[in-house]
Amino acid sequence: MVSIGAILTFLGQGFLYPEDKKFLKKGSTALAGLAHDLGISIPFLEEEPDLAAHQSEFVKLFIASPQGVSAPPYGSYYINSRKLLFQEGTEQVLNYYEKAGLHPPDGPEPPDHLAFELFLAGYMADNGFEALLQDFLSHHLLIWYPQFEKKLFEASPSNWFQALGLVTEELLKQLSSMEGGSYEKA
Amino acid sequence: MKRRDFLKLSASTTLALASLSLEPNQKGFFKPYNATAATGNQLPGSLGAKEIPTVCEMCFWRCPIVAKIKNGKLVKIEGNPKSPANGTRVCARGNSGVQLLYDPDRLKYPLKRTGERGEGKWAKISWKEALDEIAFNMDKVQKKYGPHALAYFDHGASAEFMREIFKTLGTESYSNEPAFFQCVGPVAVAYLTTMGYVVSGTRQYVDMANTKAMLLVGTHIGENVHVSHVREFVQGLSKGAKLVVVDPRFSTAANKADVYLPIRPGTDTALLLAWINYVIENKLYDEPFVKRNCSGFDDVKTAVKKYTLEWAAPICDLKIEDMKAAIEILAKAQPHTAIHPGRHSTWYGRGDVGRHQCLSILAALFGSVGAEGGIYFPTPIKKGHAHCTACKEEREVEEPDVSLRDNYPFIEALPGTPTADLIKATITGKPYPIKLWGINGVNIIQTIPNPYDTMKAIKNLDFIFCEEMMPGETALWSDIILPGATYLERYDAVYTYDLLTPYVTVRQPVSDPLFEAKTPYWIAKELAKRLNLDCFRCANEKEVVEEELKQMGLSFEKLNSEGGLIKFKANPYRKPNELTMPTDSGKILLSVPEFAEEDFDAVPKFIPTPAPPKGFARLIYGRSPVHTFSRTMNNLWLNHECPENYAWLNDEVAAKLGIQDGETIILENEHGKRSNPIKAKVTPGIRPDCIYMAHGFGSKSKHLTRAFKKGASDQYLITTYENDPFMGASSHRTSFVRIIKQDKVKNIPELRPLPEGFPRFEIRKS
Repeated sequence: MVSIGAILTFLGQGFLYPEDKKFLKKGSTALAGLAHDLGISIPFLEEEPDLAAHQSEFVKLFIASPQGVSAPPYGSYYINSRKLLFQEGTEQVLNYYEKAGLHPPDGPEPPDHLAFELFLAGYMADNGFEALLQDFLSHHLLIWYPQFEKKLFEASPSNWFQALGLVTEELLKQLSSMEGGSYEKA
Repeated sequence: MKRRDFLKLSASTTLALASLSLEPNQKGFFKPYNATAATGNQLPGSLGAKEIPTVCEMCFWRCPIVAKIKNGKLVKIEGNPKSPANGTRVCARGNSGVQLLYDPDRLKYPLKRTGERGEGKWAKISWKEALDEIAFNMDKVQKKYGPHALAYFDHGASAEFMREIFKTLGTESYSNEPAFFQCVGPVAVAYLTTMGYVVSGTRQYVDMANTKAMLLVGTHIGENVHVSHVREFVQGLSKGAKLVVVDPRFSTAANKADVYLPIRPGTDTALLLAWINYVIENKLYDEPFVKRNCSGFDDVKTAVKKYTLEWAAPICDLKIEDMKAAIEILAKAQPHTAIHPGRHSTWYGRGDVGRHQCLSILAALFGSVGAEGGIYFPTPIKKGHAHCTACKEEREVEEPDVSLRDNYPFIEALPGTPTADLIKATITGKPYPIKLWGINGVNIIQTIPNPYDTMKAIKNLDFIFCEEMMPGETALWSDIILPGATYLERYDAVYTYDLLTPYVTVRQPVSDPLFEAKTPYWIAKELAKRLNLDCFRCANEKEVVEEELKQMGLSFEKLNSEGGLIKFKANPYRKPNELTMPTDSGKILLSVPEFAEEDFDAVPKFIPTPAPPKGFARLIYGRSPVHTFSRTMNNLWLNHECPENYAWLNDEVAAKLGIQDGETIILENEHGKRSNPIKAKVTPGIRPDCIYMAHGFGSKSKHLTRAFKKGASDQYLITTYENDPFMGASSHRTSFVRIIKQDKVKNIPELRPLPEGFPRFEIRKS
């Protein structure tokens, strides 16, 4: 059995800098399976991903590029009208960490990094914070995630990031349409 | 959807996920909530914010500021009310430090190039790997080619610690650029030689606030905004000071002038020599002052005799009565006449030092040196020195057989090696090979003339690295990129201000470095360690500053208890009969024998700068008041205020060429290099023989979020330059442009004909 929290943690890890080829390889299988189970189509994923190419793309998409960061993975970027980091988006998510009884991660990324927000959603799902999770999704994460995903796709990412983006979108959407009750292990 | 319907995973998906060992809540990734992390007050805006006094570095002027912190976040920057220089005022750039700190584009992690140089493909690496690799390459290049093969291009406070490493390794190939070789070198040499101190270097010791008349020659105060300097300019005008502006373009300052002289570019020295002659011939100078405090008067008198206003008028393309009216205004106000020394002085190469020497002579003739409203003396504030930053053992430095500094007899007093020579040596390997570049705090592609040569040189290197905050064009070319902390995230140094309102202040952090950015001191210390250099023995930069403060009888506690800034009494003026200049003779050298000893002119002569070739106009440039060099064009707030530059085009020329105001054109230079498309600003406020644009725009970096293809770059059009023969600075106003409209070449008509025999630039067919 795999918990919702574990799935969200997997997706969150996909948005952190890739260091391990095995994760990419196994992750491709997991993404394909999740897409099938969620009822969506995703592009074909290579069986032998190229870690170096993946790392370069990750830097360009999410960290730094002379061409400009394609899709900043921070809530604040989308929620703040001036597109600054560490602004209202960060403050909003700090509020959710507090309500879930958690201290935000120490960094170096800010607490509204997409990976951390997916981890937080997973924690809420697995630890009886269903109402809080619904509030978090509808009033925070799903406010900015679609904007992030739009920018991600505008950058014509590789199949891996397309798949990751699409599966995350669908899972969050389905989670937010749940009506009460706890999320059983899938 | 009911919970029972939610996501039934297939066996294969379950298996794949299970194999990834995902245990989100068991790894202790999240810690329990800590009540002290609560955010606190809910007052709007910056109300109730904690205030931290510090020092701006959005430009080199370094205004004292107060950072307003709320819930751990910088919410606003204001001028430090304790500062007698800027008070609560900051410029647009100062305000936008908030944007720099939280800019999503900023460099966050050390990066390593994975594609071709210039391609912009990188992988994220650890600090250990980044520094190990830099140290390995520095060591390798040094062993193979010698210490001078290591070159360092640096600018600003962030670059200083690392410069010590390069100097300790024994290289002469560091640039201290762009401060000297693209900007203040010639004016610094002129005043150091004639008056014994740098009247214009980083700052200008000219008392505009208390003057009765000012002269600006090509100085664009109000467009180059340094808050206290602009304030003094405005104070002087508001108290009734007269203003004379010499500029081919009707600048912001010209707009306020009593006499505006739209001079032919390249002929300023002719005007100044004619004025000097006029002042002497008509006995408008301060004879007792000159007799007591100056040497070389008779030489000057003889040398300038031939330069009359009548002679200068056709050369400068000015009316005799206007030239006369202007010099009479300046003479009448003496000794309270502010002959502004200028700052950016790398215009034409050969004549640059001479032009500023003329300004120095004029100030001396009016007795306005040490006088209220004239040129004044800095008030020295003895700074402490942190001995822990010095390297313990000086290594034996082997001088190269042929030094890149050898050609420039007056470079000795200035630090560094001319950038143009560093680039040439990197391309040719002569007089010695240069194989590694470190770049810190400067976008060399957008700063040094002929960026095509700079890029060619980079291709010849074994290794290149940079320390930057934003991923500009220099980062694009680097093998390793180090993310430096911004000025808002670090301690730096004790800063003293020695102008009319002296003070001491310090830079202190208002935020921890974000992401994995590191402070320049930490980076330099770690790199030095890897190179087995015993430098930087203080644990961190705070200790460095503490040691400097201690030697001044100060501490952070004391300074902060006084609002982060302590004022001193100024001592700027001297009585004429008590004046002793800091030259060997104690006098102002109107004629400089040292120059004659090196085969230069002791008193400047007019050497014409070649005029534009037929069909071309001279390219001139200046600054946007909301931008710093080419550093801030991608800053969201500043980009919003001024996203692009315009090509200023004379209205009569535009009419002849059929170009409308706001129409998009392309500029082509004398070597066929073309600009990005740029909008024309059609105006009578520029002479017909030149085209102007603000510097720093027109990034060629593909898809640069905000700056790419916004306006045009002057730098990419400056491919003709010559080195100033005194100290090696590169000239910046020696290139020419014509217009391309809808793919058709539009030659610039010559509406102001040249005097007979005036030399013209020749385009070589090659």
